[in-house]
Amino acid sequence: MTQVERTANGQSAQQKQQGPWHKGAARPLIVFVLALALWGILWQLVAATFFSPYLLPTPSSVAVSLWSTIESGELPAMIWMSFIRIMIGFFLGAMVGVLLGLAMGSSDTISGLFDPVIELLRPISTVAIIPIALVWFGIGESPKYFIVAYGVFFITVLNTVAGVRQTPLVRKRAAMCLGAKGWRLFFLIVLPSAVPYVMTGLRVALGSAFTSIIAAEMIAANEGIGYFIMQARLLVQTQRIFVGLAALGLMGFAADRLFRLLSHVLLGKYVRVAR
Amino acid sequence: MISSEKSFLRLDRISHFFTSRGIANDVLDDIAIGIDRSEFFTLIGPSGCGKTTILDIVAGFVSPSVGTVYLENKQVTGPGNDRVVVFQDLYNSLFPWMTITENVEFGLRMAGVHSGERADRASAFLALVGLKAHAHKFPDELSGGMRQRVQLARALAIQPKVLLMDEPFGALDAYTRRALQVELLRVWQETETTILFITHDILEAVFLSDRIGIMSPGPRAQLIATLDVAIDRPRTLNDPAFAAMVSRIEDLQRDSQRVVHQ
Repeated sequence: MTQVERTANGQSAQQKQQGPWHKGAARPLIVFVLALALWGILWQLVAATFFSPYLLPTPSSVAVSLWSTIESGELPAMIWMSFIRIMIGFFLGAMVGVLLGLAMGSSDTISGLFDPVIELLRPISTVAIIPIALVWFGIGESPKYFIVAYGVFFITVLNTVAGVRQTPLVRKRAAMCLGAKGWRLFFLIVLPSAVPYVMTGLRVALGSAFTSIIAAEMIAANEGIGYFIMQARLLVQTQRIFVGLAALGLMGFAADRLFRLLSHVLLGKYVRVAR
Repeated sequence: MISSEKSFLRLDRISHFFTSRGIANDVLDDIAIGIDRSEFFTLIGPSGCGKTTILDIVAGFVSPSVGTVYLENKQVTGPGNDRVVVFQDLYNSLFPWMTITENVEFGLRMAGVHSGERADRASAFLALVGLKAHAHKFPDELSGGMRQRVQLARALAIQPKVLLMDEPFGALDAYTRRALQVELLRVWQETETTILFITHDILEAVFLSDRIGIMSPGPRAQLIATLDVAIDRPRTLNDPAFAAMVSRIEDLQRDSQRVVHQ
């Protein structure tokens, strides 16, 4: 989240409108691109000099391969497939996670009921859940949604519970003596107070969604980026493995940026903290 | 006079104790206070003596172990907008995602006041505390002193019967504290609100109050004396009556400590 620098004069009012793309970002962007170019050149030199293309292809050959898979429509189709699975799984997991988290955060009974189950299931990674997901849901799209949602759920629920519980007592009391109670106290004070925690949880969960879907696609799919990478390995097309990895990195980066932008636009004011 | 049935706000023989992890905490012992309508009453005592617990009990956040609080002869059973608290906390008392105006309107919104009247009243009370120019800012854009003014405006906007102030200026620098004390007196005289004020600052208590209740150090804190501050306002430090009142309170506090230590 973009933290607003506090100033004593009126400038901060203008600063708060700026998203992740503010003026100061121009210089880091140049540094970012330059550093990336530098590492690219180094990779090119090392790969061309010391390695067989089957072990480490040069970035230029990866770029050529990348372009041809984009041109043929193969890569965009794979990206789209994985993207849809991530979005649906993420949405399902996040929805259940936030709702249960809000309930658990506000009620000791509900928390006591679900806590033991969550604590015992949480250490089981999404990769370990793939076989049973396939048994339960077959080999269609639903096991992929389930696997993504599973990972997203745990991260979201824990952060939401923390968000609800950290609502400052003074803030709740201030609202109570101004006449807020029950549902209004919850929706107008507790829920907005939990937003920063929920957003952080969702952002971490989005990263986990990428991890889960690639694992699922490597084991049981015939479309998607995970499948694409696994196929390239079986055919020993190393530069295509790199194409898949590059696409994955860019997707994750773009998704995180998009998430930050959206949450800033939609919920930016709830991230304000008086300090 | 103390705790007469005619008092506007009456703390009727309040005692408070609780057990935490097997350790008994005896906080308050038989506190009886009667406060008149429009009176400025201050409770003074050392840190940890249970002043804030008394305020939490009057606010309805905490139920006393023994005794009852009456406001206009009606028993206090929980928080309500007839008793609004101004907190010491500069960071969490205001709602950070709401503008200053929205903060001041919050109590009115809860009371079902429609939006037109809400806006009028918010702007009137922001004007009263001198913050009209900052109406559309957010709390994180204000200084500590300004935030406390917003709290004051927000509390007064719903015209509570009693204003409960829990060391409201305790976290401010000396200069701002002084300015806000003067401002609070002006606002109190204009609105004729009843105030229960808490502080450990003797000068602050004497500067502001009609009457001062002096508490012994906890645990088992008691009210050791209640003094009328019969000094004309505006009060100044170099008034001999002011100095006499301060040293009288200091003496009473010293005596109470001696009793505890024996």
